Amino acid sequence: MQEQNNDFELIKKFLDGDESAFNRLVLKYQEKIYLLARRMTGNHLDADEVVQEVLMVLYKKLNTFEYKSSFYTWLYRITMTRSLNYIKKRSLKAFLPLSGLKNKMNEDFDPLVSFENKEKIVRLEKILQKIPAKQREVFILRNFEQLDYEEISKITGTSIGALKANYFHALNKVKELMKDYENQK
Amino acid sequence: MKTKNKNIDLILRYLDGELDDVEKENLFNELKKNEELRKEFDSIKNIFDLKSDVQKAKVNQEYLDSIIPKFRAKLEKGNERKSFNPIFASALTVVLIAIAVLLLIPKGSKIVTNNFSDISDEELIQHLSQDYSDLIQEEKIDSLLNSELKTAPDKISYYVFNGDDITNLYKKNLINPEDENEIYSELIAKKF
Repeated sequence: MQEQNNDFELIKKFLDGDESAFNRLVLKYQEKIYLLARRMTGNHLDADEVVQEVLMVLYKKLNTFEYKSSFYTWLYRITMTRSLNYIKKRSLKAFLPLSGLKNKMNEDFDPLVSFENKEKIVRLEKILQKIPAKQREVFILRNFEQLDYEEISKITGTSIGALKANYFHALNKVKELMKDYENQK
Repeated sequence: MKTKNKNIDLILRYLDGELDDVEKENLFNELKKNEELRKEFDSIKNIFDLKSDVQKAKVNQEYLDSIIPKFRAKLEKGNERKSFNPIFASALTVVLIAIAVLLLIPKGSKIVTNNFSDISDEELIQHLSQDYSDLIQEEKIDSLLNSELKTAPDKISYYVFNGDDITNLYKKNLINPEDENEIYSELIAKKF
């Protein structure tokens, strides 16, 4: 509750013109936004773009935040929507042969700090890209963000029944894909 | 199938720590007897074991420190840019009018066609000079644009940029990556 009040305080300060309050809000949540976007998009460059888009939405739309849900639930929703839009955009880009400028960032750069089983996690990220985005969404929110179906329903606007079905399908697909991967080794 | 789903649900609830003692005991007994269920259990547990590793993932501080400065730079740049981008607006208008023209020209006219690649550029430009905007039917435009995107993506990009491809526009400094992004977003928002 204290946490939530702090967030609300920062939002109010920002809306009153205190730009540093916005920065403090971002500093608090940027890692979570990045990791969520990264799990949805499956790679750093795309996640980095989603993070920037989310911040832009936050900056422009914070005045529409109604203080009814926690700020983080709202932020989850924005990050998920932006990630899904980005994935759609990515498919369209692959489809249209418009060759934009290559991203100047080093494509090999990966800001995930080395930790045990990093290879497995990166493999899981790749596997997740092979399942439909809506299933991926519930799989990530349920497993990695440890949210219950009710919270996920608030974020995604999907009924709990549909979420459960999606989760079930996602789990079965991930299971099969992991098995395939093990067999290929 | 129903039993299998029920068992998976039971395994999930166990791994989430939601089973009471009786349910747990039933599951363990079942696991001892049922080889297939045991395999199912192992493969789901495999995924769950990764959860804790995923949750331990941390992001390099240097990258995190770059997020706000990058955002602030974008914000500043955005404020400097004009809110109305004439190139983008005119390109989209050209595409929409072109589609409308192709759909709504009366029968017997020279360009009764459902495919952009069937008409010459001169013919298209000639017809674009006429005003068909009040006859535009959004649904038909959507379906034609979608089918064109699938069958003739080169043509679409040609008309989007009014005869200039995106690489040339970059070279001439007429658009930047943000504009490109905006074009894709606008196409998605309007057509998908």
